[in-house]
Amino acid sequence: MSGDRIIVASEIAEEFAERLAERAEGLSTGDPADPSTVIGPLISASAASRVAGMVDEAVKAGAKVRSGGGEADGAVYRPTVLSSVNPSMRISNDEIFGPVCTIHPFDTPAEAVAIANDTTYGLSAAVISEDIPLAMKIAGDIDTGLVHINGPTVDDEPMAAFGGVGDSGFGRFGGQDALREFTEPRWVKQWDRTLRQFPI
Amino acid sequence: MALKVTLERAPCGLLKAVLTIRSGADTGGSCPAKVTWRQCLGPDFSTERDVVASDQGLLIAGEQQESSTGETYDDVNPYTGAAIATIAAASPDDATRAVDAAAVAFKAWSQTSPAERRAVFLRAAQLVKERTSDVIATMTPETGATFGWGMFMVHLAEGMFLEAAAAAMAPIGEVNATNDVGALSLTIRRSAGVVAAFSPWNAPTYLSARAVGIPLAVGNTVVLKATEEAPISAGSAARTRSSSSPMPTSTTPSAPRLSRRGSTAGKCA
Repeated sequence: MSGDRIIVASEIAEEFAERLAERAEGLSTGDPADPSTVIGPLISASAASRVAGMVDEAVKAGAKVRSGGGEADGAVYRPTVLSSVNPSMRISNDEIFGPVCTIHPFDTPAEAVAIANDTTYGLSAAVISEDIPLAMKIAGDIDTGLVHINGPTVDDEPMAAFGGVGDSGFGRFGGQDALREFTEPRWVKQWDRTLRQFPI
Repeated sequence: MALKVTLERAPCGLLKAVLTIRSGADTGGSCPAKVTWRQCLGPDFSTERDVVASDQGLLIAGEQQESSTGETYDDVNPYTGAAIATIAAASPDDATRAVDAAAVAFKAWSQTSPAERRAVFLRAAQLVKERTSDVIATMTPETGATFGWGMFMVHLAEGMFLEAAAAAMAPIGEVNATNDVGALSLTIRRSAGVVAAFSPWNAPTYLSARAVGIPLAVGNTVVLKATEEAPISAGSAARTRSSSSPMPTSTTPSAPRLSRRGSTAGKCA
Protein backbone atom coordinates (compact mmCIF):
# COMPACT_ATOMS: atom_id res chain seq x y z
CA MET A 1 0.00 0.00 0.00
CA SER A 2 2.97 2.23 0.66
CA GLY A 3 4.15 3.65 -2.68
CA ASP A 4 7.21 1.79 -3.98
CA ARG A 5 7.50 3.49 -7.38
CA ILE A 6 7.20 7.23 -7.85
CA ILE A 7 6.64 8.14 -11.48
CA VAL A 8 7.64 11.75 -12.06
CA ALA A 9 7.54 14.13 -15.06
CA SER A 10 11.06 14.10 -16.44
CA GLU A 11 11.49 17.90 -16.35
CA ILE A 12 11.20 17.86 -12.56
CA ALA A 13 12.45 14.32 -11.84
CA GLU A 14 15.98 15.34 -10.88
CA GLU A 15 14.94 18.10 -8.51
CA PHE A 16 12.22 15.84 -7.10
CA ALA A 17 14.77 13.08 -6.41
CA GLU A 18 17.09 15.52 -4.69
CA ARG A 19 14.44 17.01 -2.47
CA LEU A 20 12.88 13.67 -1.59
CA ALA A 21 16.31 12.29 -0.71
CA GLU A 22 16.94 15.27 1.53
CA ARG A 23 13.64 14.68 3.28
CA ALA A 24 14.36 10.95 3.66
CA GLU A 25 17.82 11.63 5.11
CA GLY A 26 16.18 13.78 7.78
CA LEU A 27 13.90 10.99 9.07
CA SER A 28 15.16 9.58 12.35
CA THR A 29 15.54 5.83 12.29
CA GLY A 30 15.89 3.19 14.98
CA ASP A 31 14.31 2.45 18.35
CA PRO A 32 10.50 2.52 17.99
CA ALA A 33 10.16 3.25 21.72
CA ASP A 34 12.03 6.53 21.23
CA PRO A 35 9.40 9.24 20.63
CA SER A 36 11.59 11.00 18.07
CA THR A 37 11.85 7.92 15.84
CA VAL A 38 9.94 8.15 12.58
CA ILE A 39 11.17 4.95 10.90
CA GLY A 40 11.26 1.97 13.25
CA PRO A 41 12.54 -1.50 12.41
CA LEU A 42 11.05 -3.85 9.85
CA ILE A 43 9.29 -6.93 11.20
CA SER A 44 12.53 -8.94 11.38
CA ALA A 45 16.24 -8.80 10.59
CA SER A 46 15.65 -11.15 7.66
CA ALA A 47 13.01 -8.80 6.24
CA ALA A 48 15.53 -5.94 6.44
CA SER A 49 18.31 -7.95 4.82
CA ARG A 50 15.92 -8.93 2.01
CA VAL A 51 15.29 -5.23 1.33
CA ALA A 52 19.05 -4.46 1.52
CA GLY A 53 19.61 -7.29 -0.99
CA MET A 54 17.09 -5.83 -3.44
CA VAL A 55 18.70 -2.39 -3.19
CA ASP A 56 22.18 -3.85 -3.57
CA GLU A 57 21.14 -5.79 -6.65
CA ALA A 58 19.62 -2.64 -8.23
CA VAL A 59 22.73 -0.59 -7.48
CA LYS A 60 24.95 -3.23 -9.11
CA ALA A 61 22.71 -2.99 -12.18
CA GLY A 62 23.11 0.80 -12.38
CA ALA A 63 20.61 2.35 -9.93
CA LYS A 64 21.78 5.47 -8.10
CA VAL A 65 21.41 5.76 -4.32
CA ARG A 66 20.05 9.22 -3.52
CA SER A 67 19.67 8.54 0.21
CA GLY A 68 20.03 5.58 2.54
CA GLY A 69 21.13 2.30 0.98
CA GLY A 70 23.83 0.04 2.36
CA GLU A 71 23.51 -2.79 4.83
CA ALA A 72 20.65 -3.34 7.25
CA ASP A 73 21.36 -2.76 10.92
CA GLY A 74 19.53 -5.67 12.48
CA ALA A 75 15.88 -5.14 11.50
CA VAL A 76 16.45 -1.44 10.78
CA TYR A 77 16.89 -0.15 7.26
CA ARG A 78 17.54 3.51 6.49
CA PRO A 79 14.99 5.33 4.32
CA THR A 80 16.26 4.92 0.79
CA VAL A 81 15.56 6.73 -2.47
CA LEU A 82 16.83 5.26 -5.73
CA SER A 83 16.91 6.78 -9.21
CA SER A 84 18.12 5.45 -12.59
CA VAL A 85 16.05 2.37 -11.98
CA ASN A 86 14.96 0.27 -14.94
CA PRO A 87 12.09 -2.17 -15.37
CA SER A 88 14.31 -5.23 -15.54
CA MET A 89 15.43 -4.75 -11.94
CA ARG A 90 13.72 -6.87 -9.27
CA ILE A 91 13.14 -3.72 -7.20
CA SER A 92 10.87 -2.36 -9.97
CA ASN A 93 8.70 -5.47 -9.97
CA ASP A 94 8.59 -7.00 -6.50
CA GLU A 95 6.85 -5.44 -3.52
CA ILE A 96 9.69 -3.86 -1.58
CA PHE A 97 8.00 -3.90 1.82
CA GLY A 98 10.54 -1.58 3.37
CA PRO A 99 11.37 2.14 3.56
CA VAL A 100 12.55 2.34 -0.04
CA CYS A 101 11.15 4.08 -3.09
CA THR A 102 12.31 4.27 -6.66
CA ILE A 103 11.95 7.21 -9.04
CA HIS A 104 10.89 6.71 -12.65
CA PRO A 105 10.82 9.71 -15.01
CA PHE A 106 8.24 9.94 -17.81
CA ASP A 107 7.71 12.25 -20.80
CA THR A 108 4.04 11.70 -21.68
CA PRO A 109 0.97 10.69 -19.64
CA ALA A 110 0.71 7.52 -21.75
CA GLU A 111 4.24 6.61 -20.76
CA ALA A 112 3.46 7.25 -17.08
CA VAL A 113 0.48 4.90 -17.28
CA ALA A 114 2.55 2.24 -19.06
CA ILE A 115 5.20 2.38 -16.31
CA ALA A 116 2.53 2.25 -13.59
CA ASN A 117 0.89 -0.79 -15.17
CA ASP A 118 4.17 -2.65 -15.76
CA THR A 119 3.72 -4.88 -12.70
CA THR A 120 1.71 -7.93 -11.72
CA TYR A 121 0.51 -6.14 -8.57
CA GLY A 122 -2.38 -3.69 -8.30
CA LEU A 123 -3.49 -2.55 -4.87
CA SER A 124 -3.10 1.21 -4.57
CA ALA A 125 -2.00 4.20 -6.64
CA ALA A 126 -2.10 7.97 -6.32
CA VAL A 127 -2.07 10.63 -9.02
CA ILE A 128 -0.78 14.05 -8.03
CA SER A 129 -1.62 16.86 -10.44
CA GLU A 130 -3.20 20.30 -10.63
CA ASP A 131 -4.81 19.21 -13.90
CA ILE A 132 -7.78 17.33 -12.45
CA PRO A 133 -9.33 16.12 -15.73
CA LEU A 134 -5.94 14.69 -16.77
CA ALA A 135 -5.43 13.17 -13.30
CA MET A 136 -8.86 11.51 -13.54
CA LYS A 137 -8.02 10.15 -16.99
CA ILE A 138 -4.70 8.73 -15.75
CA ALA A 139 -6.36 7.33 -12.63
CA GLY A 140 -8.87 5.55 -14.87
CA ASP A 141 -6.10 3.99 -16.94
CA ILE A 142 -4.06 2.61 -14.02
CA ASP A 143 -4.90 -0.99 -13.06
CA THR A 144 -5.29 -0.95 -9.28
CA GLY A 145 -8.10 -1.68 -6.86
CA LEU A 146 -7.86 1.81 -5.38
CA VAL A 147 -6.57 5.12 -6.63
CA HIS A 148 -6.29 8.47 -4.87
CA ILE A 149 -6.28 11.82 -6.67
CA ASN A 150 -4.01 14.30 -4.91
CA GLY A 151 -3.72 12.10 -1.81
CA PRO A 152 -1.41 9.41 -0.45
CA THR A 153 -1.48 5.76 -1.52
CA VAL A 154 -1.99 4.76 2.12
CA ASP A 155 -5.62 5.05 3.15
CA ASP A 156 -8.43 2.77 4.23
CA GLU A 157 -11.98 3.58 5.17
CA PRO A 158 -14.38 0.78 6.04
CA MET A 159 -17.15 2.52 4.08
CA ALA A 160 -15.39 2.06 0.72
CA ALA A 161 -14.47 -1.05 -1.27
CA PHE A 162 -10.86 -1.94 -0.46
CA GLY A 163 -8.89 -4.54 -2.34
CA GLY A 164 -6.44 -5.13 -5.17
CA VAL A 165 -6.29 -6.60 -8.65
CA GLY A 166 -3.77 -9.04 -10.13
CA ASP A 167 -1.36 -10.47 -7.58
CA SER A 168 -2.56 -8.05 -4.88
CA GLY A 169 -5.14 -10.38 -3.42
CA PHE A 170 -8.79 -11.05 -4.06
CA GLY A 171 -12.14 -9.83 -2.82
CA ARG A 172 -13.09 -6.53 -1.30
CA PHE A 173 -13.49 -5.25 2.22
CA GLY A 174 -15.67 -2.26 2.99
CA GLY A 175 -18.95 -0.76 1.91
CA GLN A 176 -21.67 -2.64 0.07
CA ASP A 177 -19.03 -4.94 -1.44
CA ALA A 178 -18.11 -6.34 1.98
CA LEU A 179 -21.74 -7.13 2.70
CA ARG A 180 -21.91 -9.11 -0.55
CA GLU A 181 -18.53 -10.82 -0.05
CA PHE A 182 -19.59 -12.27 3.27
CA THR A 183 -23.17 -13.29 2.51
CA GLU A 184 -24.68 -15.89 0.20
CA PRO A 185 -27.32 -14.77 -2.31
CA ARG A 186 -30.56 -16.69 -2.54
CA TRP A 187 -33.33 -16.17 -5.08
CA VAL A 188 -36.75 -16.31 -3.42
CA LYS A 189 -39.88 -16.06 -5.57
CA GLN A 190 -43.39 -15.96 -4.21
CA TRP A 191 -45.95 -16.98 -6.85
CA ASP A 192 -49.49 -15.93 -7.40
CA ARG A 193 -51.04 -19.24 -8.40
CA THR A 194 -54.12 -17.66 -9.90
CA LEU A 195 -52.14 -15.82 -12.54
CA ARG A 196 -50.19 -18.57 -14.33
CA GLN A 197 -51.48 -21.45 -16.42
CA PHE A 198 -49.20 -24.50 -16.42
CA PRO A 199 -49.21 -26.80 -19.51
CA ILE A 200 -49.66 -30.02 -17.51
CA MET B 1 -7.42 26.01 30.74
CA ALA B 2 -9.00 24.00 27.95
CA LEU B 3 -7.62 20.83 26.48
CA LYS B 4 -8.57 19.74 23.02
CA VAL B 5 -7.39 16.63 21.27
CA THR B 6 -7.61 16.54 17.49
CA LEU B 7 -6.47 14.04 14.93
CA GLU B 8 -4.61 15.59 12.04
CA ARG B 9 -3.56 13.91 8.86
CA ALA B 10 0.12 14.44 8.24
CA PRO B 11 1.42 14.91 4.66
CA CYS B 12 2.64 11.32 4.68
CA GLY B 13 -0.95 10.16 5.24
CA LEU B 14 -0.50 9.09 8.82
CA LEU B 15 -2.78 10.45 11.46
CA LYS B 16 -1.21 12.53 14.13
CA ALA B 17 -2.92 13.10 17.43
CA VAL B 18 -2.42 16.65 18.62
CA LEU B 19 -3.25 18.01 22.01
CA THR B 20 -3.99 21.70 22.02
CA ILE B 21 -3.75 23.45 25.35
CA ARG B 22 -5.55 26.74 25.39
CA SER B 23 -5.32 28.89 28.46
CA GLY B 24 -8.63 30.44 29.33
CA ALA B 25 -9.90 33.61 31.00
CA ASP B 26 -7.90 32.88 34.16
CA THR B 27 -4.71 33.85 32.42
CA GLY B 28 -6.38 36.67 30.60
CA GLY B 29 -5.57 35.41 27.16
CA SER B 30 -5.35 32.56 24.75
CA CYS B 31 -2.06 30.87 24.10
CA PRO B 32 -2.36 27.68 22.09
CA ALA B 33 0.47 25.22 22.28
CA LYS B 34 0.81 21.96 20.47
CA VAL B 35 2.42 18.91 21.96
CA THR B 36 2.24 15.35 20.79
CA TRP B 37 0.01 12.76 22.42
CA ARG B 38 3.13 10.96 23.50
CA GLN B 39 4.25 13.94 25.55
CA CYS B 40 0.77 14.46 26.90
CA LEU B 41 0.48 10.87 28.12
CA GLY B 42 3.34 11.67 30.45
CA PRO B 43 5.74 9.54 32.47
CA ASP B 44 3.15 6.88 33.23
CA PHE B 45 2.86 5.99 29.59
CA SER B 46 4.95 3.02 28.63
CA THR B 47 5.85 1.52 25.28
CA GLU B 48 5.93 -1.89 26.92
CA ARG B 49 3.54 -3.84 29.01
CA ASP B 50 3.68 -7.15 30.82
CA VAL B 51 2.74 -10.15 28.77
CA VAL B 52 -0.15 -12.00 30.38
CA ALA B 53 -1.32 -15.59 30.05
CA SER B 54 -4.22 -14.64 27.80
CA ASP B 55 -1.77 -13.21 25.24
CA GLN B 56 -0.07 -16.53 24.74
CA GLY B 57 -2.79 -19.13 24.37
CA LEU B 58 -5.29 -20.01 21.66
CA LEU B 59 -8.73 -18.49 22.06
CA ILE B 60 -11.21 -21.15 21.00
CA ALA B 61 -14.92 -21.01 21.87
CA GLY B 62 -14.17 -18.13 24.24
CA GLU B 63 -11.66 -20.14 26.25
CA GLN B 64 -7.91 -19.75 26.59
CA GLN B 65 -6.23 -22.97 25.53
CA GLU B 66 -2.80 -24.43 24.96
CA SER B 67 -1.88 -26.09 21.69
CA SER B 68 -3.07 -29.71 21.52
CA THR B 69 0.55 -30.73 20.88
CA GLY B 70 1.89 -28.50 23.64
CA GLU B 71 4.14 -26.78 21.08
CA THR B 72 5.14 -23.15 21.51
CA TYR B 73 7.32 -20.61 19.71
CA ASP B 74 9.04 -17.35 20.65
CA ASP B 75 7.45 -14.02 19.78
CA VAL B 76 10.46 -11.77 19.08
CA ASN B 77 10.96 -8.02 19.40
CA PRO B 78 12.37 -7.10 15.97
CA TYR B 79 14.40 -4.17 17.31
CA THR B 80 16.14 -5.91 20.22
CA GLY B 81 15.91 -9.50 18.97
CA ALA B 82 14.73 -10.56 22.43
CA ALA B 83 11.83 -12.99 22.94
CA ILE B 84 8.93 -11.10 24.51
CA ALA B 85 6.48 -13.99 24.89
CA THR B 86 6.05 -17.70 24.39
CA ILE B 87 3.09 -18.35 22.11
CA ALA B 88 1.04 -21.50 21.67
CA ALA B 89 1.64 -22.97 18.18
CA ALA B 90 -1.74 -24.18 16.95
CA SER B 91 -1.86 -27.62 15.34
CA PRO B 92 -4.16 -28.72 12.47
CA ASP B 93 -6.31 -30.35 15.18
CA ASP B 94 -6.60 -27.01 16.97
CA ALA B 95 -7.67 -25.36 13.73
CA THR B 96 -10.33 -28.03 13.24
CA ARG B 97 -11.58 -27.54 16.79
CA ALA B 98 -11.75 -23.79 16.23
CA VAL B 99 -13.77 -24.21 13.02
CA ASP B 100 -16.07 -26.70 14.75
CA ALA B 101 -16.59 -24.26 17.62
CA ALA B 102 -17.32 -21.46 15.16
CA ALA B 103 -19.80 -23.71 13.31
CA VAL B 104 -21.63 -24.45 16.57
CA ALA B 105 -21.66 -20.77 17.52
CA PHE B 106 -22.98 -19.85 14.06
CA LYS B 107 -26.37 -21.40 14.84
CA ALA B 108 -27.08 -18.89 17.59
CA TRP B 109 -25.07 -15.92 16.33
CA SER B 110 -26.69 -15.93 12.87
CA GLN B 111 -30.08 -15.71 14.58
CA THR B 112 -29.27 -12.67 16.72
CA SER B 113 -31.02 -9.45 15.82
CA PRO B 114 -29.12 -6.72 13.98
CA ALA B 115 -29.58 -4.54 17.08
CA GLU B 116 -27.79 -7.12 19.23
CA ARG B 117 -24.88 -7.31 16.80
CA ARG B 118 -24.74 -3.54 16.54
CA ALA B 119 -24.53 -3.25 20.34
CA VAL B 120 -21.57 -5.65 20.44
CA PHE B 121 -19.61 -3.58 17.92
CA LEU B 122 -20.43 -0.25 19.52
CA ARG B 123 -19.02 -1.65 22.76
CA ALA B 124 -15.97 -3.05 20.96
CA ALA B 125 -15.25 0.39 19.44
CA GLN B 126 -15.43 1.96 22.87
CA LEU B 127 -13.15 -0.70 24.40
CA VAL B 128 -10.45 -0.44 21.75
CA LYS B 129 -10.36 3.32 22.25
CA GLU B 130 -10.14 2.96 26.02
CA ARG B 131 -7.22 0.57 25.55
CA THR B 132 -5.21 2.85 23.27
CA SER B 133 -2.09 2.87 25.40
CA ASP B 134 -2.32 -0.89 25.90
CA VAL B 135 -2.52 -1.52 22.15
CA ILE B 136 0.48 0.70 21.47
CA ALA B 137 2.45 -0.84 24.34
CA THR B 138 1.79 -4.20 22.67
CA MET B 139 2.62 -3.19 19.11
CA THR B 140 5.87 -1.35 19.81
CA PRO B 141 7.85 -4.28 21.25
CA GLU B 142 6.09 -6.90 19.15
CA THR B 143 6.21 -5.30 15.68
CA GLY B 144 8.56 -2.34 16.05
CA ALA B 145 5.66 0.05 15.47
CA THR B 146 6.33 3.68 16.26
CA PHE B 147 3.91 5.62 18.43
CA GLY B 148 2.27 7.34 15.46
CA TRP B 149 1.63 4.04 13.72
CA GLY B 150 0.12 2.63 16.90
CA MET B 151 -2.24 5.60 17.20
CA PHE B 152 -3.21 5.15 13.55
CA MET B 153 -4.04 1.48 14.26
CA VAL B 154 -6.28 2.31 17.19
CA HIS B 155 -8.08 5.03 15.26
CA LEU B 156 -8.70 2.68 12.30
CA ALA B 157 -9.77 -0.25 14.50
CA GLU B 158 -12.26 1.92 16.33
CA GLY B 159 -13.63 3.18 13.02
CA MET B 160 -13.84 -0.39 11.73
CA PHE B 161 -15.91 -1.54 14.70
CA LEU B 162 -18.20 1.48 14.37
CA GLU B 163 -18.71 0.69 10.69
CA ALA B 164 -19.39 -2.98 11.55
CA ALA B 165 -22.10 -1.70 13.91
CA ALA B 166 -23.58 0.29 11.02
CA ALA B 167 -23.26 -2.68 8.62
CA ALA B 168 -25.48 -4.77 10.89
CA MET B 169 -28.29 -2.35 10.00
CA ALA B 170 -27.53 -1.87 6.30
CA PRO B 171 -30.24 -2.78 3.79
CA ILE B 172 -29.12 -5.71 1.70
CA GLY B 173 -30.71 -7.73 -1.09
CA GLU B 174 -32.69 -6.92 -4.23
CA VAL B 175 -36.22 -6.90 -5.55
CA ASN B 176 -36.01 -8.39 -9.05
CA ALA B 177 -38.19 -7.77 -12.08
CA THR B 178 -40.35 -10.78 -12.89
CA ASN B 179 -42.43 -11.63 -15.98
CA ASP B 180 -44.93 -13.40 -13.74
CA VAL B 181 -46.84 -10.27 -13.00
CA GLY B 182 -48.16 -10.42 -9.45
CA ALA B 183 -45.34 -12.60 -8.19
CA LEU B 184 -42.68 -11.29 -5.83
CA SER B 185 -39.09 -12.06 -6.84
CA LEU B 186 -36.35 -11.31 -4.32
CA THR B 187 -32.64 -11.95 -4.01
CA ILE B 188 -32.01 -12.19 -0.30
CA ARG B 189 -28.59 -12.42 1.28
CA ARG B 190 -27.96 -14.91 4.05
CA SER B 191 -25.04 -15.30 6.42
CA ALA B 192 -22.45 -17.51 4.74
CA GLY B 193 -21.34 -19.54 7.79
CA VAL B 194 -17.82 -19.82 9.17
CA VAL B 195 -15.32 -17.33 7.74
CA ALA B 196 -11.60 -18.21 7.81
CA ALA B 197 -9.68 -14.95 8.27
CA PHE B 198 -5.92 -14.42 8.00
CA SER B 199 -4.39 -11.18 9.16
CA PRO B 200 -0.83 -9.96 8.51
CA TRP B 201 1.72 -8.27 10.81
CA ASN B 202 2.06 -4.86 9.21
CA ALA B 203 -1.15 -3.39 10.61
CA PRO B 204 -2.14 -6.21 12.96
CA THR B 205 -4.72 -4.59 15.18
CA TYR B 206 -6.64 -2.89 12.41
CA LEU B 207 -6.41 -5.70 9.86
CA SER B 208 -7.64 -8.21 12.43
CA ALA B 209 -10.50 -5.89 13.32
CA ARG B 210 -11.31 -5.61 9.61
CA ALA B 211 -11.01 -9.36 9.04
CA VAL B 212 -13.70 -10.06 11.62
CA GLY B 213 -15.85 -6.87 11.69
CA ILE B 214 -18.14 -7.04 8.65
CA PRO B 215 -18.23 -10.87 8.52
CA LEU B 216 -19.51 -11.01 12.11
CA ALA B 217 -21.84 -8.05 11.61
CA VAL B 218 -23.72 -9.88 8.83
CA GLY B 219 -24.19 -12.95 11.03
CA ASN B 220 -21.20 -15.17 10.28
CA THR B 221 -18.75 -16.56 12.78
CA VAL B 222 -15.03 -16.16 12.21
CA VAL B 223 -11.89 -18.16 12.81
CA LEU B 224 -9.01 -15.69 12.94
CA LYS B 225 -5.54 -16.99 12.20
CA ALA B 226 -3.30 -14.22 13.41
CA THR B 227 0.16 -13.72 11.97
CA GLU B 228 2.92 -15.64 13.79
CA GLU B 229 4.95 -12.43 13.89
CA ALA B 230 2.41 -10.38 15.81
CA PRO B 231 -0.07 -12.71 17.52
CA ILE B 232 -0.62 -10.50 20.56
CA SER B 233 -1.24 -7.32 18.58
CA ALA B 234 -3.56 -9.17 16.18
CA GLY B 235 -5.28 -11.00 19.00
CA SER B 236 -5.99 -7.79 20.84
CA ALA B 237 -8.80 -7.13 18.37
CA ALA B 238 -10.29 -10.58 18.98
CA ARG B 239 -10.00 -10.14 22.71
CA THR B 240 -11.70 -6.77 22.54
CA ARG B 241 -14.71 -8.40 20.96
CA SER B 242 -14.50 -11.32 23.30
CA SER B 243 -14.82 -8.99 26.25
CA SER B 244 -17.68 -7.07 24.66
CA SER B 245 -19.72 -10.22 24.14
CA PRO B 246 -18.95 -13.93 24.02
CA MET B 247 -18.18 -14.56 20.37
CA PRO B 248 -16.26 -17.34 18.79
CA THR B 249 -13.06 -16.82 17.05
CA SER B 250 -10.16 -20.30 13.95
CA THR B 251 -9.21 -22.38 9.70
CA THR B 252 -9.77 -25.28 7.40
CA PRO B 253 -11.18 -25.88 3.93
CA SER B 254 -14.62 -26.50 5.43
CA ALA B 255 -15.04 -22.75 5.96
CA PRO B 256 -17.17 -21.40 3.12
CA ARG B 257 -15.49 -17.98 3.03
CA LEU B 258 -11.87 -16.94 2.98
CA SER B 259 -10.82 -13.48 4.00
CA ARG B 260 -7.24 -12.64 3.34
CA ARG B 261 -5.42 -9.42 2.73
CA GLY B 262 -2.16 -9.55 0.82
CA SER B 263 -0.68 -10.60 -2.45
CA THR B 264 -0.90 -14.11 -3.82
CA ALA B 265 2.88 -14.25 -3.48
CA GLY B 266 2.29 -14.49 0.24
CA LYS B 267 3.17 -10.96 1.18
CA CYS B 268 0.82 -8.46 2.64
CA ALA B 269 -0.83 -5.28 1.50
